[in-house]
Amino acid sequence: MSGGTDSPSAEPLSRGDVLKVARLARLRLHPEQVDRMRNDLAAVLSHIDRLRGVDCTGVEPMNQPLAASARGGNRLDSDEPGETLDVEAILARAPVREGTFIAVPKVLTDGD
Amino acid sequence: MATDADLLELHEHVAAVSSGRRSAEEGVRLVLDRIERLDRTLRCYHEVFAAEALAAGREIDRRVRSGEKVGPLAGACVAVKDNLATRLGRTTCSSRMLEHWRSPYEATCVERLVAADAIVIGKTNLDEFAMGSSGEHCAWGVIRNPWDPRRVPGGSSAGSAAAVAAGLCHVALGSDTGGSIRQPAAFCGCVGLKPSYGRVSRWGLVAFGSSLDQVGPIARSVRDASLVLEVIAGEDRRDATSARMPVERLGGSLEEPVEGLRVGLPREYLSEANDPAVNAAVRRAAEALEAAGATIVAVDLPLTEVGISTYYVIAPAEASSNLARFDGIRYGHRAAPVAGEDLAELYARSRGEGFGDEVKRRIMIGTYVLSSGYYDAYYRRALQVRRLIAEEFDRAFERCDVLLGPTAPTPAFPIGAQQDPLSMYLCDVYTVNADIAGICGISIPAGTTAVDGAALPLAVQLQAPAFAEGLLLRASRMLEQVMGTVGLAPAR
Repeated sequence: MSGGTDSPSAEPLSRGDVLKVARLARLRLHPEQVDRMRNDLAAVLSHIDRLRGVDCTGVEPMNQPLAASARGGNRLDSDEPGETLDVEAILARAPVREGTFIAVPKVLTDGD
Repeated sequence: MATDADLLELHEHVAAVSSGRRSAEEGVRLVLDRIERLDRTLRCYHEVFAAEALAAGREIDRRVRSGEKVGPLAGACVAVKDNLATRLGRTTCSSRMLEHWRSPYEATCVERLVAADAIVIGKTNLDEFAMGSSGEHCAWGVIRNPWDPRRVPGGSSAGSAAAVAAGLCHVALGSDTGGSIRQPAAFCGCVGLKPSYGRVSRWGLVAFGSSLDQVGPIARSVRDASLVLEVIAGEDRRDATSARMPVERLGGSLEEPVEGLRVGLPREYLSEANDPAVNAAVRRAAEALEAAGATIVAVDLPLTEVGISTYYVIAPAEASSNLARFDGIRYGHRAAPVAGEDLAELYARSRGEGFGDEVKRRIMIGTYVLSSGYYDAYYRRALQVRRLIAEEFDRAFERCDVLLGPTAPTPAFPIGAQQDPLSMYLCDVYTVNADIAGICGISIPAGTTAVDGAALPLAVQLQAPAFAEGLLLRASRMLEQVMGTVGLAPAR
């Protein structure tokens, strides 16, 4: 992707940028979807750029809204076995199953 | 033979069933009959559990007859948004990705409803994975507004709101990440309550934006919404973000007007970009509350508009991370095998086939703003603005108890009218900030307006500080008493 932290959207989003993001997101886009996605992303990112107009000097990022008092502090469960999902129930829901395993394509190729 | 006029509001129905004056089974039958007649057009439901619901109704009737105690929602037919895990039927999120998914467990909120003797009548359609504001992004087809089927019901809890409005259930559950309970409730003439973040357990809610998502009721009246909230609210050890705050039991005090209520009217909420009928409804609501003894206070919320930019960084960022779990391996859609393909290609193809366009867009935005070189400029900055928005609400709530404004800038728009994603996102301007800050908000009907030969519901929104649901509901009840409800949508 082009552009640095100072001016993220100074340069228009290229087709290559869109394909790179799609690769990071593990999303296969049809060739005809790429241009539409580029236009949509460009419009949204240009709107999001308004965030730069807000003075955030010294502001601590807020990851989630629940106040510590309402949260009741950090909650840790006691280290005791509890109820878990049945293994058979999980295997039965896998798209491809082989015996007691969920089947996937070969992860390591011969060269690895 | 029961007629449409017999479809009572939830609190009336529950009282009648519990005292043996009405049969729960007959109540289920009435609802099923309406679904049969009306849902072919509206498409609120993906699945209806007719046999199970009738059996549950029969069992409640038996218990009432034999003098056993029944729960606070006895006989209430509840529609459940299809992004909440249920043991009955499938949980699809209206996505091809989960077309055949059957959850091995049930969401806490659904468990609590069933424990209160509510009856799950079916699963309602939504914008895929709760991403959308119109009900048009559902893999099973467009959902329609019962007030005018040429128009959208709003989203993403589209089927839930339309089902309540059309009398296809007594009450529904929705989820709200950026307005997905309140905006469809507004478009369909229902009451839609988004509780404070942490008020209702998210266990069993398929995660979209984990720091924003909340489950809440869509109902025909404030009283019904209040009854359901009391059942589903409260700490749950399976959700570490469920708050350790006592659940307020309002009971009869819901009917008591709030003494000396201060209603903040933010200047930014009456924008000239809003439909004039929307602004007129907000002014009518302010006058009505004033006549009921409240004081109207002018407040400023200058960060209102930048909420959209903040939301469309944080929500897609969290979504891109949450939806990474749908890789076609352990569950959900897996693409057909291709010889020589590696694992990454299988992920990409499965996700490319399983997700619809709007979900892909959000994942792309989220991945972009979190990617190297952009994280600080977008994501970190959005989290900083998030704090400023929360602080701005804090300051406003020093001067008032609740905030009054529109729920959405317009009434329900025609199907197909919002082609460009950004203009759809801008519709959320009055709802996203409550999710960003974690406060509670409610949409309340405010009469109707005639558009293209149909009466369309108008609505206003009240917002209150986090965990002030009791105050919010009492103020809402005051408003409802003076503004009236709009009733069920005309059956077609």
